[in-house]
Order: sequence, then C-alpha cells, then structure tokens
Amino acid sequence: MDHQTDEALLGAYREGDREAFSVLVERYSNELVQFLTKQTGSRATAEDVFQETFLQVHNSASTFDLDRRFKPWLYTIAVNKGRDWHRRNARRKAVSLSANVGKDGDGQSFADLMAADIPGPSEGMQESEMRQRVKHVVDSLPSHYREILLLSYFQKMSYTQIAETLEIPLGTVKSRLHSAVAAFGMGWDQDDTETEEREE
Amino acid sequence: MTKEHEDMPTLTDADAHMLDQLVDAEFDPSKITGLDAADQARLDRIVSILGLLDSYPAVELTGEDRTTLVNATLARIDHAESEQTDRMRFEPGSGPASRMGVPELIAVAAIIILGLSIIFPMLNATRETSTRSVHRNNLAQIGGAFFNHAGDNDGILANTDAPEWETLFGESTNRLDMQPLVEHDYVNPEVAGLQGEILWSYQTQPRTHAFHSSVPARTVLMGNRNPYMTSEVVSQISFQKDEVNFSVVLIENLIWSPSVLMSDNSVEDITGHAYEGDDMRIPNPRCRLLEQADVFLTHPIAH
Repeated sequence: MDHQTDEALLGAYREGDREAFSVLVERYSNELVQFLTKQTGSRATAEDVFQETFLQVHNSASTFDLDRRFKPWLYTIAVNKGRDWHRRNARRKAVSLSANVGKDGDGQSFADLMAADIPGPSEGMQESEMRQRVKHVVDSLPSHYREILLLSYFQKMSYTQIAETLEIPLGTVKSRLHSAVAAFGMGWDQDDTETEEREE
Repeated sequence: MTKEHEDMPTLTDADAHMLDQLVDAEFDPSKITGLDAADQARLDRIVSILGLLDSYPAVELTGEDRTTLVNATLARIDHAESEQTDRMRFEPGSGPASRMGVPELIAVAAIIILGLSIIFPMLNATRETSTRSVHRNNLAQIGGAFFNHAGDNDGILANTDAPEWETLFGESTNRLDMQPLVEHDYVNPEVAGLQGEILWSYQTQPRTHAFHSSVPARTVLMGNRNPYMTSEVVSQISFQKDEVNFSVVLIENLIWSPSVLMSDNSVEDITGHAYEGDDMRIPNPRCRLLEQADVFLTHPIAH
C-alpha cells in the first residue's frame, strides 16, 4: 500500500479502507510537522495543528476531487489550520518591516540584496546561536510572508503550486515571495544590528 | 494599491528576477548558467541569504515520534466521529438527559396524539368559522345586489337564458344568474366569486314553499355550483304543489350550510332547516319576479 499515490489512498479511504488513511497520515507526518513547526514556531503546536489538519481531511474526504492532486489540498488545509491557530493565539508581536533600508524612503522599501551584509556561520557565530537567530527572524515575519517562504524554500513548491495551495493569484505569489525574502533579509540585518549593540 | 502592497518591502527588479529564476530551479543555483559577473554575484547573495533558512532548527521525528503522532491523529478522528455519532443517535436510557424507557415514550406519544386530537378539531372549527364569516359577508353583499337589481328593473330578478333547463321543465326558460349583477356593477366580481367563469347560479322558490313559513323573510337560494351541471347529482325528485313545480336533487359528498338573507339584508344561518341532508331545491323557473318568490342563499362551509 505504501507505493500507492496519495490520491489512490484517499480514494481507498473513502471506500472504507482505514489502513489507507493511516498510510497517508504516516506519509506526511514528518514533512508536515516540519512545515507546521516553522509556521507556528512550536513543535507541540505543530503536532496539534497536524492532527486538526488530518481531521479536516477526514471530514472533507468525500468532497475531494480525486482527479486533483492531494498534496496542494493538504497544504491548503494545513496553512488554514495554522492561521486559525495564530488567530486564536494572537500573541505574536507584529514587527515593522517598513524600515528605510532601500532607495526609497516612503511607502515601499526596496531591498537590494547586493548590499546585504550576511555573515556566515564561519565568522565565529556559534551554530546554536545562529539557529536561534534564524528562528527568531523567521518567526517574526508576518504569517503570510512566513507561509510563502516555507512553501517555496522548504517545500520546494513552484509558484503555480503555491498559488493553488494558498488560493491566491500567481502574480500575488511572486510579489509576496519577493517581499518575504526582502523582509527576511531586512529582519536579519536588523537583528544583526541589535545583537551587535547588545554585545557592545 | 492594497494595504498589503503599500506596506510591504520588496526586492529590486534585478533581485526579484534572479529570485524567480532560483525558484524555477528549485533553489539549486547550479541549474542557473550563463550569468554575467554582476548577476552571478546577485545570485550568490540571494543564495546566501536564503541559505540562512537552513539553520532554522530542524525537527526530525523519530520513528517512535511518527508512530505516536499517527496513532494520536487517528484516535482524535475516532473520538470526533464517536462524538458526532452520539449527537445524532437517540438512545433511551443512555444519558442523564434522556433517561426514558418505552413506557415513558408511549406516554409521551399518547399525550401528543391527545393534544393533536384536541387541536385539529379546534383548528378545523376555526377555519370553518372563518370561512363562514367570509361567506356571510359576501352573501349579504350579493343578496343586496340582487334586490337592488330587482328594484331597478320593475321587480324582475337578474336572469339569463338557461336552455339547458329546457329538458327538465319542457320549455325554454331563464334562470337567475349573477352575471347581470356583476355586469351592471351591482356587486364586485371578486365578492361574487366570478373569476372568468360563472360558478354561481341563483334559484328562487315561491313564497308558498314550506320553508317560508318558518323564516318570514325574502330569501335567495344560492349554490356554489349548479346541480344540473355536475356529475355529483345522484338522484332527483320532481313534484308539484300549489301548481308550482318542485325538484329535489340529491347531491353526494357536498356539505351545504344554507343561509337566509333577511329583509334588512342581514344573513342568518339555518340550522335544523327544512332541507335534510345534501339536498337542494331547484327553483321553478317561472318565479322570476321578486314579489312572487323568495330567494335563498347557500354557501359551502368547506371546499
């Protein structure tokens, strides 16, 4: 059964094969928990949202069009469940990303990555500290930037797949990913500056 | 421009273009070739920035973790399923709020049936009373129109040709009809119940008929259908009294409640009246003058 496609497994589950659903949950357990951990910032939360996601898959299985691909549908549910969690736990402080780091001082801020100063781990930063700083910057991103960065970079989804998953236009996917990368770069710089100030 | 677009930072066009290429290459820079030095440097910077993301603390689930997670997920689904089933299922005696046995259920059902047996007749009675009220009002207006028409036409009642009666009475005759009343604005067609088709016919009785002695009033007999025109006529009896022809027609499955239009144009219902059962007296067509005939109004109490 492990070699069956996602869609075939879901179809079998709709016919009453519970084992097929178990295989499906197992298949996505590691990948989706990783994704949700980055989306929610907590592994415990990620596992909870993971369960909610598959509960929703179970409830909506009969409405899924088996001619479509399962994975984008699964991630659509997962992203929405993650958003629900954020709404219920609105404890994350919004971080301003409109700092003037680019050529324009007003409105949009253009980040030229050519000018970015990105220290690598080889420059003396402890690995654990590096991990925590990256986590801090990623977790501080607005959720819609974080989602698209995770789907694109970590899940290696194409623009088209992301558009399908997030149910937004292709153009919005591109512009939002551009902004997400810019925001991450800016957030990193800002965090770097704050770290240096603390060290001084 | 949306709020999101106004506030969000963005890359320069060159960086954005390079990032798009990198996405298409599934973030594998080796797949992007033929770049000049500036673009290569730009690509390297983007890759190095995105490479920071690789330092995000990894979450690796062990085999045991995955098994636990899968089992917990399936258990959660089972729990949700059973909760939903419990909500949809009614089990007598299975819960503090529904501790009812079969005897209690029978008692409840009996109470409901008893209540319905009381309520339904009341509703029917209410509906009948309402219908009767509407009909009484209509009859008063129609009867008034009838007498007004006679008063304006030398006492001749509203009538129309009734060749279909020739077979019965052996001569071509007229019958009383509401149509002239409507045509000459003696009564509103809606009140008369004329909706493009003549459903009402009026019949007269000589003042010598038996009923006249018990109700000292001019009366109009009106049915909501002409018994001669319906297949529900099951029998008829014709007789002569005081040189006046009478016919009694038995009509099946019709409930009639005759009313009498009094001299002051009020309407009185007749109970225990002279007409037994579902019969209707058919008029003598020669009684065409108001002074020679009483006119009866009847109306159905149910349709």
